[in-house]
Amino acid sequence: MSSSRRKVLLKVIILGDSGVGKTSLMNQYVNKRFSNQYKATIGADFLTKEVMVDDRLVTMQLWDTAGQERFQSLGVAFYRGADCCVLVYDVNSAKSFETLDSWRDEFLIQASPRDPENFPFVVIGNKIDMEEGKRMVSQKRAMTWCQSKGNIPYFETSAKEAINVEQGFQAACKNALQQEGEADIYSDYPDAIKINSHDADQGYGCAC
Amino acid sequence: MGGGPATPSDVDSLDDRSSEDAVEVSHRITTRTAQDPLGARAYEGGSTWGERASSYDGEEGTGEPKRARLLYSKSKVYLHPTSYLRDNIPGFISIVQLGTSTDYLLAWIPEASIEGTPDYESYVLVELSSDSEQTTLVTPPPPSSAHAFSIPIRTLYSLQIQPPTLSAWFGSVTFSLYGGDVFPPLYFHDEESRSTVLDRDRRAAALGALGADRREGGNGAGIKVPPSWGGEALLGQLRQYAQIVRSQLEPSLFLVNPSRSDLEVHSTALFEDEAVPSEAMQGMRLRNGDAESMSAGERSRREGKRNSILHQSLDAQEYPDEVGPGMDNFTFNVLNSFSRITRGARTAAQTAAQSVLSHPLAKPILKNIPEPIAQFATAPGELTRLQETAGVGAYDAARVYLAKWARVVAEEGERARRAEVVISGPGGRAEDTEVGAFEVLSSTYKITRPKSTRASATPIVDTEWAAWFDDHGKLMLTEEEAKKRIFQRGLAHDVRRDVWPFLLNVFPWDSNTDERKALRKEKTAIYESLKAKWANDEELQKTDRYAEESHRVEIDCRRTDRTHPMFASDDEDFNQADSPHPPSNAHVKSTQEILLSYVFATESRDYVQGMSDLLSPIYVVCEGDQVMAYFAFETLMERMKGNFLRDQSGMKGQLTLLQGLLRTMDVQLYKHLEECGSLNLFMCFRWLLCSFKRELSFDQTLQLWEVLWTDYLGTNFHLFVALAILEAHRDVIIRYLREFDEVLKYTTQLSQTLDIEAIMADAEVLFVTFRQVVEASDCQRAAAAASTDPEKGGMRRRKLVVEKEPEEEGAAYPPTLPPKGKGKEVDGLEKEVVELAVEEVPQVDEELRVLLS
Repeated sequence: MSSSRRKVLLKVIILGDSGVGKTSLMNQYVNKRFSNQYKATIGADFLTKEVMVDDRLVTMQLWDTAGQERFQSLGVAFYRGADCCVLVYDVNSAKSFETLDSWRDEFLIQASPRDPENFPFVVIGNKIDMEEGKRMVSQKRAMTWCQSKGNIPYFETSAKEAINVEQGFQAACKNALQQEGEADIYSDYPDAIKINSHDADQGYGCAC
Repeated sequence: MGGGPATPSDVDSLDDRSSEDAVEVSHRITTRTAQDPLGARAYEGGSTWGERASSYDGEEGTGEPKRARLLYSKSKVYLHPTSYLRDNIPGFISIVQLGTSTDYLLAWIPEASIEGTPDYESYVLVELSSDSEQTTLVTPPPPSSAHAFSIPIRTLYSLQIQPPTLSAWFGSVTFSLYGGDVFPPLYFHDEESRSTVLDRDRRAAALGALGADRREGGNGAGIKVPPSWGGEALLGQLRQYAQIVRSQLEPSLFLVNPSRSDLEVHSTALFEDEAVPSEAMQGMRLRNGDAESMSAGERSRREGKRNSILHQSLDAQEYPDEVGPGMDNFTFNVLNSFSRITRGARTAAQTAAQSVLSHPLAKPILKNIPEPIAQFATAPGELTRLQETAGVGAYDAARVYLAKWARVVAEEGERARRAEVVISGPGGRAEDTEVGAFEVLSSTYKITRPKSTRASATPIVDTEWAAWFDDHGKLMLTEEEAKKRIFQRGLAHDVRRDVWPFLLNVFPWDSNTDERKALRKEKTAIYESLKAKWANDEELQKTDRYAEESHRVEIDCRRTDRTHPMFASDDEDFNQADSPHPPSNAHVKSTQEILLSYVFATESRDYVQGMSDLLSPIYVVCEGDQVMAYFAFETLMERMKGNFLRDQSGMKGQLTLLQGLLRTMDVQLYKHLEECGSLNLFMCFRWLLCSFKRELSFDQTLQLWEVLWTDYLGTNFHLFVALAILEAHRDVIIRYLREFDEVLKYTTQLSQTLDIEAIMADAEVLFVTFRQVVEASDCQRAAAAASTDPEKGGMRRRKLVVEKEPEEEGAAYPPTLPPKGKGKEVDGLEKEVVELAVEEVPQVDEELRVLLS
């Protein structure tokens, strides 16, 4: 605590169809617990978690969003300044996998990161605890898609049984940090000015 | 709860006859002393005492009360039940032993209770006697009475010690028990207490000798310095029966037999620069009139002591003048700590905030700073709940954490204040119930504060509801009158099933029993055909639309209100083996059918998240009657369908209206939210989308909804409800929250903490206030127009007002200068004088007028 090391706040947005387990994944990762009583997320909420990455203390702010596509238009209010986006689908639902494309596109439009080509995503196929026969999306199919989108890291998880959840979010964290680069790391939370300066930078405008 | 003061198991297993009793009584004492002399009167009657004493005897199983050994006694220890001198109650603080038990009791009894008995003499004798070998027997102190207590010393958790200062004449000691109960402070009237006066004299002599010793280079070790005031003397006595350790974090706090974890917490400097408050404390103490001057050497010796050893205890004999700081110091220290938190870097702030609130120090702090916080103390579990709400491992920005803390404290204060208003009777202190916005507005518009007409204590019950109808089952009241009553009083739960179909237009208000029977038949047929539309159409069921809609409906119904008894059970018949969905039951399935019938009734509908939340309370009130629930839900959706439009235009419109309302009513909060980047009011999104359902308990939701559906104060009353919630938290928001995410987190976590009754009453007040503002604004505009163009402007404005406000408020207040003096009663509201502020009156946006319709 007394260290003067710079602290980092990473904003991670979790997207995907309703019912794929976004809230469950987030709670499993942050609070180490699972409940099948989570209500459908309305609007948005976030949890934060502190992690050490290499020897750096990082605070992850994980944004849980409503899964129904029509609520996406509100995303702009909280996608802004995102450092990473976690796309979640349910391996037992082909539909939820097929919509990943539109979730990704919509996110890039609304968050408008300065380098959309290289913006860090992570894909999570959730609910692998179900029996194999239920599975609708093969690992191969998912990985092919991830590869085609610029080698997005892919994880198969079970929020219910806490399988691979930690790894998935850690990857999100690391990729976001790499993307940031040391120069962009801002210290001392809360510092919205720094967060917002992302946006200011995007214009590449010159005052003169 | 890692840091909280856990009740040790040995306390539970105490066979002592009074531990539970004492706890229960402490509540009463605390509440009584908070405000009234009632307790004192009750005591004077003496009856409570007698009952308690005899019940105690009974528990002992003997006819004869056992005798207790009086080990220590001190007179003129007062309760101050009120701030009036005349209400002070003198008594004896004592330490007694029952039989040969090693459970020593700490007791306080009023003088009056033993006056004229042999016990009285015993108490006086023991006070003045220094012979501890002598055995003095007395009647065991009663376990509890209106103003007496006796508790095993081992149930003591801490003492809060405030020595006398120049500003606080009497020093006090406050006892806290494990489990969080706190007794009212006991004040030591040293001038009256014979033992203390005696001590004083001896002390003066001893100090004189000590001084002489010092001058001669001696260490004065041989001279015993008696305590300087009663609290110190008591502390000295208690040390013989328990380990008492002074907190390093808060020098006025003394822990009794502290656990290891308490020791650790109280010996760790909370802040890296802990020396600063410590230094400041010294300064404060001096300024506070602790007149004894301190040499630099002495000070550093103390500092060294404070900062060196784990949890040192106060050695009264070595440092006779080192006593806890006064209340001001205590407050200062706490506030100082908090200011550090708000200034501090993020991680430090988080740790600090969590330490402050989670370690055992928090409880005494919350209980011993000002009035509202003292009230907080009487709500056990509040802090725990607060911490649990925050979630294990969930991180809250320090400011959000502090804001939540401030909110809980403020709410407790508010609750206590309301209780006080009830006690002091109606009309007592109505001016205190101000909504923040009102203060702001009343300075601009000279309007008087309206009062809420809500009377929720007497909800409409089934017999009353039945009495509104004639023999044919036709309502004898007007629809408006019925709605007004429902608005003002709400419904008892068992009558909701009958009333909601009227509120939701399933039955017209002017229908009679036969007509309703026919309607019911008709609607059953309609519903059956709607259901058949999707349930019996195999072609439809093959479509993508059906697959999507039924999937959405299913996953949402299966996670809606599953803790409600109707939806709670998991019925195997409704579960496919190994389904990815949460389990289901007949009622869950039934809500799915209703939603699908709604969706497939027309081509253009689809299911949107939030709808299942709207249906569930209706379904429960209709007791699972699909037909009634369907049509009631359909009406509700008519009211709310704007919220579910694909382009979100409805929600945006709502939020825009709310934003405009906020700007008109509380520009300060508006500007603050603007600075926080929160003017989109996204944090209110969930409130509005499902009509506060997620923010309230199930029962509270029912209470609010039936009020909203009366449309008694317009169809947008829910926006005033939203405004009332924001207003209830405006001070906290303005003071603590700076960022969009902080505001969002804070408001999200208000869920399940809201006092819906207070909110509805505030919402009504805000509505009427807003109406006054619109009127005042109109009057001014009309006056201005009339002065420039008397022909046109004035008339047009007058007309507009009348059109816009069919409730003829415009007529009551024609857009000319309103009459002075008290207005008439309109709408059952005590109507106020609207005086025009001659200076500038902000204009109310035309768009906002929809809020009045």
